Amino acid sequence: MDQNEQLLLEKAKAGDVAAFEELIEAYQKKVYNLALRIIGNADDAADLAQEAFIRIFKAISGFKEQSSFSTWVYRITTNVCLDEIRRRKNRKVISLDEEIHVDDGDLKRQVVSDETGPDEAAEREELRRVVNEAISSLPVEQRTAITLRDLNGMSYEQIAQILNCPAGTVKSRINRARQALKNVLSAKRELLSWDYVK
Amino acid sequence: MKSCADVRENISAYVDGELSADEKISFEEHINSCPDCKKELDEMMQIIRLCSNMPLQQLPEGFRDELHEKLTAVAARSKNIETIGKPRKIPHAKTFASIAAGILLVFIGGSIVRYGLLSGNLGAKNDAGNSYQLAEKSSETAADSGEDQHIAFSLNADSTEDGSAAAGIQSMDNGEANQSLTYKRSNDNNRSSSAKARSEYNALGVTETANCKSSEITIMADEPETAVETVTELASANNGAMTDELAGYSGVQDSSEDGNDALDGDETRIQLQMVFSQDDYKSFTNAVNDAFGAANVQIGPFITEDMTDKLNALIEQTEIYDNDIKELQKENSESNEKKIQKLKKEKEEIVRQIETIRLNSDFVTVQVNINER
Repeated sequence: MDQNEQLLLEKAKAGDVAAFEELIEAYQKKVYNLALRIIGNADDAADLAQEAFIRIFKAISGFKEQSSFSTWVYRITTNVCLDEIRRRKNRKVISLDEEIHVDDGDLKRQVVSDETGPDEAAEREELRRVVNEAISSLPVEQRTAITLRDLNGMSYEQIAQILNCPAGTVKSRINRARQALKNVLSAKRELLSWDYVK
Repeated sequence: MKSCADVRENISAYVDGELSADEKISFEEHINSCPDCKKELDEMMQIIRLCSNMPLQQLPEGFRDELHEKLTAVAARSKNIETIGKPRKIPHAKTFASIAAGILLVFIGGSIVRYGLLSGNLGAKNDAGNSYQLAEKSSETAADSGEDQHIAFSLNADSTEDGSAAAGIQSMDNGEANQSLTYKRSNDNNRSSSAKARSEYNALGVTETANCKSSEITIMADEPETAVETVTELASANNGAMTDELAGYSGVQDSSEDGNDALDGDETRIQLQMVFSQDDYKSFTNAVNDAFGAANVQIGPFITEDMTDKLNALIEQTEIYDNDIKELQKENSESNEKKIQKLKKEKEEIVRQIETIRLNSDFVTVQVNINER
């Protein structure tokens, strides 16, 4: 955490909304995407990400800075999402296997900036859809673990803190998740012309 | 790391750079001598690369604005909560000048530290009135342990949000044969077991709600000393509990805050503080009306403050403390011992705040001021 962040943190702890918003600016997209991976649809992910930030704001005066801010942020986000999943399981209302929403506008922009042809763009999009689908078909604890690793860049130790489980468990969850993905995706090998993946 | 199975278990950790130096060496030794595992590693690496290169989705439109509004609202509310969380100042003496001499009962939602029973018949364990919004399965879990049964009981009793505290208490009276319990800070065993049960509920995704209730009542009477007795009797008859903390204020001289009031020292104001369940509070006010005559009693608005967010934020904080403490304990060094003690103390303070909110949520807190004419 650099000096500026530290200053923002102090202000946020004192209840300064603007400072808090600046502090979390870098996390908003990642928190939203983490929620999206765990919960599986864009509307709920937006609600849960906001709920997470509100909880973070409320609890920030008690943040002891013994874990890194990012670990703490993702821990609260994960808890908010997993709580919601437990609640839904108990109510047995909503399917968690909804397809992950793909933001077309985002993809188009990405394609343009990469200067790739239309065919390649379509294949790329198809690949992403398939991968997202495969990830969302994983058990929740596995997709949470690999998302924290691959999308949020957390170490196993940090993930263990976030999920409140031993690091060994994190290791096996992540490995099992990837093996499952490999099995699912190798069935669609024609899509996996790895050139698209940098 | 000898078998292929062992090696394959470690592929992810290897790629993620999470193996120790020794593990890494033996992993690489195996891979270099085993084409099958090498192939497996290559395929896994493709998957890992694929997943870690998935583009992030853009934030939905309006996400920031919406969040901004919510945060601003929370910030505004938490300021209010801080004000409400502290005991309110006794109304300015000028207020009293405008009222004919009498008894002023101020119902406040304050930070009650200790409850002593007037009647010995409050009839509820300290958990009885907490209201939970329950996911279906939680009550089953709660019933598993005999120790926690009172909680399960109040969970079942609490079907409505408001007035749930009273419902819990009354049910307890019937169900547990008037088992009386004085809330005491020293009652640590009971507290920790219920805290454990609560954290289990939280783990199940249960949201705990809290509402702190406050109101104001003014009673006119000629003789304060006699009036105190009457009020005390009425409170006792309605299961009211005197709080130890303010009982000693009896007969205190009023001194208004800025000290420039003409009434300074001219009046004896007796203050009492007591708590009621919500239903008992209603019957108590009725009884007060009857005893002093409705014309001599002014009942202020009954205010319910939603402390749910504050409570849940505090609970979240204790979880963070637990995590931090656990982290430090893992390292097992002496310098950490002090930090751990410090954190534990700070956590205790938060737990105390949580208990205070829960308690205030269960009961209506009453402060009685008696002025001499």
